[in-house]
Amino acid sequence: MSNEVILEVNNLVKHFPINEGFLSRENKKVHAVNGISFKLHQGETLGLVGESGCGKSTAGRTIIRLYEATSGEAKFMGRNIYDLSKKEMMTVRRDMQMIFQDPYASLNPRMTVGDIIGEALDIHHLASGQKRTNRIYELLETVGLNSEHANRFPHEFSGGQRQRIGIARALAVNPKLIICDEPISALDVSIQAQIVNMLEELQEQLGLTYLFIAHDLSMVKHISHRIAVMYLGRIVEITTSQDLYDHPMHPYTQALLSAIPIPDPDVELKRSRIVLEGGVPSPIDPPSGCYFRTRCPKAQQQCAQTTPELKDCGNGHLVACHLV
Amino acid sequence: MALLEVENLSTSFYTYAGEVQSVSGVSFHVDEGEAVGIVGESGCGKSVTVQSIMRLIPNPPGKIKNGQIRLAGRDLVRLPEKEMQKIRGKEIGMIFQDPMTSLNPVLTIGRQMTEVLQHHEGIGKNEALGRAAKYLTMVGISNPERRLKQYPHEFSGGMRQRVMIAMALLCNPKLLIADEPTTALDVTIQAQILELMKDLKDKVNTSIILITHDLGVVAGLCSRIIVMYGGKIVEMGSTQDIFKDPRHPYTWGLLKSVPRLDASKRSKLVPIVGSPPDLLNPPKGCGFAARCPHAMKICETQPPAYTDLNEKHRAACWLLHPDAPKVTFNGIDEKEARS
Ligand SMILES: Nc1ncnc2c1ncn2[C@@H]1O[C@H](COP(=O)(O)OP(=O)(O)O)[C@@H](O)[C@H]1O
Ligand SMILES: Nc1ncnc2c1ncn2[C@@H]1O[C@H](COP(=O)(O)OP(=O)(O)O)[C@@H](O)[C@H]1O
Ligand code: SF4
Ligand code: SF4
Ligand SMILES: [Mg+2]
Ligand SMILES: [Mg+2]
Repeated sequence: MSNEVILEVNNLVKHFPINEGFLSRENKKVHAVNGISFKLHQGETLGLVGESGCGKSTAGRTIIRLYEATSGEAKFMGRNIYDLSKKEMMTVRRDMQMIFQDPYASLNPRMTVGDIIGEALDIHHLASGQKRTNRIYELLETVGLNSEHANRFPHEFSGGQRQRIGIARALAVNPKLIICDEPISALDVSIQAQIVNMLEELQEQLGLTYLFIAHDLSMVKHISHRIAVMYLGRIVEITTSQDLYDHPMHPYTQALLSAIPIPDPDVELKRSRIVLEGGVPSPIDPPSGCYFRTRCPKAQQQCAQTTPELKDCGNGHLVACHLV
Repeated sequence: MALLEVENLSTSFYTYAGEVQSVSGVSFHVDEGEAVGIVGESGCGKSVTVQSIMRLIPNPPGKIKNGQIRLAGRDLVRLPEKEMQKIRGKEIGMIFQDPMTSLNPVLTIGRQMTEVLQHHEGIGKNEALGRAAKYLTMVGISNPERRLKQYPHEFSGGMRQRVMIAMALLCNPKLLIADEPTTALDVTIQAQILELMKDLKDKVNTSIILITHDLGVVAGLCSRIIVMYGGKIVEMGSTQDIFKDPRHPYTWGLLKSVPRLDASKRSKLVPIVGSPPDLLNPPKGCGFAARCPHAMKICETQPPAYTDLNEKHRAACWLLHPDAPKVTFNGIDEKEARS
């Protein structure tokens, strides 16, 4: 891991308009991502966690410009990607790849695995002829498959193998950054470990940088150097993985950590849980002030009035809460 | 005392490709007021086991081939469907991963809940509504009178799961079967649901069978754990035995492949190589042989019998044979054992 910042996200906002008929007066929108900022270093894995609907996927997709940002910037290797022309974006697309939760949905069922990987090479004119074939075989082996798999179709593979194919396709263009959107959530635990180990090995070999999106905090803590915790489209806390576990400072992080079951009966029977009431409010009408205040056991009057900003509490441990 | 006794249960599906032996020779029991967890990878027969108990196996293509399922001494396998209907929802309550599969989207929650009560207990509509409201409150749903008038889609995922639990509990069943009840939920909501199930067990003495793939979930709630693999129980024991003194290599594999949130060192995960066996052509010997780092010659040809380790703890593995090499959970490293 180096000190070079490869990605810098500043105040990124992504709202989705809701079409409620064109005569509707209200301009309602989904506040999916509400001004997030973070830096990602070369060779680092940053985990992005939070409950479903908190904007993790939207953040990932906006950062790779599958969605246009509502406002804010995402600087990749120093350049704000939202300012880039279509042509300039093509090269950035090579450097930034994405892998998805459901590899099957993202693999064309009518193409052979070889062609799925080859397509990525073709788009960026990276190899042709025998070189292309060799590169496909090499990529298949890199992800623990073999050259015979090149002529088969996605439906002939198990979930874990399909995720390997998705990873091979992402690797085809020699990316620098891979946004992993819940890449293991749909897999059995034993297969999850296979994929996670592989991602770790690839990072070491190729110096990859990951933005690792998931809701399973145990796995995120295992794979990430640092973790950002999101709630309703905002980052509420960000620090190193171990520090987040040892010294969680935001009431939401504390509750989230205490809710995660630990596979050890001695630990489980002794633990006390912070059980949060109710569920996450709608991102169409988020609460005023601190978004977490409707469920926060420590909420006070000012929490409804002003939005807490991310504050540095030392050593790059950032927390957004009035109490810290 | 045993509330439920399952003995030598085998259930198969007869498909065009042949017989899928989903569950073969499964035996276990559940005591009164006890929570038992069933863990294992997907496709290992967890759901088919509990669907057999509920007699919800679609026939054709499925069939309970063999075995007995006794609920308070009564054999459910041979019970006429009519009698079985009286047991489902009344003596055994069931909750599934996806509540929408068991809630009717076009009927209000109140209508669905009162129908259960009218059907099983023959009580009047007003009394039934009162009881339904009481149960919604019990599972932590506020404003029950208003909620009873709403349709399933008006509830969030966590709330729907609570409605399902309330519905499963309406007739005070002795046994609650929960098949991955929290898999689709966020952890903070999962914590709420698990807390609720713990209360039921402690305060109402309900027996629980909890199916999950999350070892952390069973560690907190269950006093005994059943580990299934390839349609069979490979190990079974007290929660303490399974976590602290596991004896089957598959159980070792499950425990080592998940990271622990409270681990301070970043140790490498140990995945289980390969994938589960095809139940159309189950292996002749031990079902785990193809993936087991400790497999021996005999494992491929002969299925291992159970070895009883203590009153509650048993495992089916040739390593437990007195003449087998000594291998333990933390003892030998995987590579050494393979060579
Ligand atoms: N394309 C879209 N159009 C409208 N709303 C969307 C779209 N994608 C996501 N959303 C909404 O934005 C919010 C954040 O969603 P998402 O980023 O998928 O969350 P997560 O990945 O954390 O589960 C949710 O309320 C979701 O319904
Ligand atoms: N209706 C069915 N028809 C054919 N095979 C089935 C059917 N239901 C389950 N099976 C098979 O039975 C085996 C066990 O399935 P299941 O009990 O659902 O696994 P688990 O719940 O452990 O994930 C699987 O191989 C599955 O494919
Ligand atoms: S700002 Fe207030 S409501 Fe928000 S987390 Fe802190 S104490 Fe809770
Ligand atoms: S019987 Fe043999 S193959 Fe099966 S788990 Fe034991 S050692 Fe491994
Ligand atoms: Mg998502
Ligand atoms: Mg199942």
